[in-house]
Amino acid sequence: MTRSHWMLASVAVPALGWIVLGVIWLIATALGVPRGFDSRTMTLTEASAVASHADAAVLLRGGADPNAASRLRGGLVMNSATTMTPLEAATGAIRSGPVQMLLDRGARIDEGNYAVLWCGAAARRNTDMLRFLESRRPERTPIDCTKVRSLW
Amino acid sequence: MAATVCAGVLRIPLQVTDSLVPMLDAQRSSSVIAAFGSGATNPGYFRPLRAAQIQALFELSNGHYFAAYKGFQAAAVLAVFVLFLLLLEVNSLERAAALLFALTVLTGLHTFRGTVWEAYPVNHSIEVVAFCLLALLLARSKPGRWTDAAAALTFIAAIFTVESGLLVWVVIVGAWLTGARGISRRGVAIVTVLLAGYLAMRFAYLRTGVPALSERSTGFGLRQLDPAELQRRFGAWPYGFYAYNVLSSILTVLFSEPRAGIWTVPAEFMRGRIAGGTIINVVSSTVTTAIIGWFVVARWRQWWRERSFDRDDQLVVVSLAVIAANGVISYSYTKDEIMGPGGVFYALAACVSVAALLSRPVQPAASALALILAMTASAWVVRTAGLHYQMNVMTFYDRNEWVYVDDWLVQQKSAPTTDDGKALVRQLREDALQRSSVNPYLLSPRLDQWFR
Repeated sequence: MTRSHWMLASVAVPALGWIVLGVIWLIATALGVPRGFDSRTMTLTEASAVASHADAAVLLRGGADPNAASRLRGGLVMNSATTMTPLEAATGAIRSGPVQMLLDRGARIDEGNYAVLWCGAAARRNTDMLRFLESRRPERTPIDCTKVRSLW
Repeated sequence: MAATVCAGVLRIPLQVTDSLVPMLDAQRSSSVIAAFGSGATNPGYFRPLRAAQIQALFELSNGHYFAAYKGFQAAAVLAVFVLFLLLLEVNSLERAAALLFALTVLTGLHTFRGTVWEAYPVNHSIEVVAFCLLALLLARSKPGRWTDAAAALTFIAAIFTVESGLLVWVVIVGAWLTGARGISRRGVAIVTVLLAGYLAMRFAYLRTGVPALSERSTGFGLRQLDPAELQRRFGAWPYGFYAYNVLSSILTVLFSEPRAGIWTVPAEFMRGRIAGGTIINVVSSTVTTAIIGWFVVARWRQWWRERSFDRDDQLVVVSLAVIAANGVISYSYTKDEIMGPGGVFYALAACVSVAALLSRPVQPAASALALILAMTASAWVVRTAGLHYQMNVMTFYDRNEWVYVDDWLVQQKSAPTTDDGKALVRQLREDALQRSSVNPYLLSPRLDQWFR
């Protein structure tokens, strides 16, 4: 290759590479691959963790239990995959999740899980969730997070 | 590239903000003519053809609203790509390589993102880009009565769609001044008379006025100012603020700074870290602008002394005129998407300038130049990938908005009271929720840093 060819290649090759990638992406999308990033593969717990209000609404309407623990893939709240309730996931994920929607659909915040959620939100510095939990505190007793089940 | 952009556009639901209320208006409106009249008499804006298009598509959709509006939007995107290709007249290897580069500039520049992704529900931003490109194509085509008529119709359609349609006049006059004679002197005169008529109708007869300071937030310096603060700081003498907006709008096309009036590099520096994406944006734009600058300097003497412009010169001069004029009409507030036409013409100028650079005899420093070009081209590819990432994020947020659409309508005092209106909202919400989206939080959270 001559130097002028190198000049041409330096300008054209990156864009050509992108065009090839684009074609592959279009074909993959048409075939429904990869589904791992697709919202249709999410559990209610995952939808709550990633603040996907739309997916949470669809799942709840489809009969998902807002109090049931379900799969939470790694990298969303914790590095490894685990199991949590939707409220626990929303607490641990920093982003403002669909907490009110979960409560409207029957999710419970009671003495059984309040301290766990509060300590989880405090550890994550999830101020929105802390404010929300403060407004629903069942009793005005101090919470000792060292004695509460940790979310992670 | 056009196919991937269209695929991205077709994934985004019709958004709640900007789309739903005009569609509810269309449902209430009796006819396209009534919608046209209503669009002509809005305070602050004169957009009768936009309202008529929304109405016409609503009526023609037969209930398939998403297909009608998004299909129209995708067609407009395709039209922009086709016109862009036709204008660049690829006839050599250098030109072909420069075209590939320019396509990534076109799609990677942040102004294109705002231009292409939103539906209002008819995307007038992309329409104006298409009108401007069409006008330039007409100006560079064979002259004739039909060309003049097409130019006049293009201008009318553009200014009746949205205010930035005035740029079509800039394109036509700029092309004529640089020797493009596809549109005759008489054609240019007709379009100029139409412009005068538009200004007289808008300001003297309809008294539509211009957007007020108190209408919306806008960026200034290192942060966003809300309407109250804008009024307090600039209400008495807004001209300095207007000059800032004009300059910001031009600079954002040339250097990717500031963004929507906010200087992101110093703002991010003060927060402790400049994002990789910000550096990519500023460096790629600066190098590309430097290449355009080199072309202008190299040709300046001939332009000035001989008043002689070849077809490439025309593209560059008209492009610079459009960028400047686009900045001027953005005087009242600055948003990335308003500079959409300027951004597309910037890509045209980039193509011509890069092709000229590649056509030069090989210089001693060719290896270093090739390396700089390769890095810049790669940076534009990253920015193009960013367009798709950001459209994906938009899909996610727009879909979420539909969950709370009833609350939003109440806040806007636009909640439908009729059964038909409520059914329309229900249908659009179901349509949005049933669409799948790639959740941005399932991808790497670091992508936000690179795709700005």
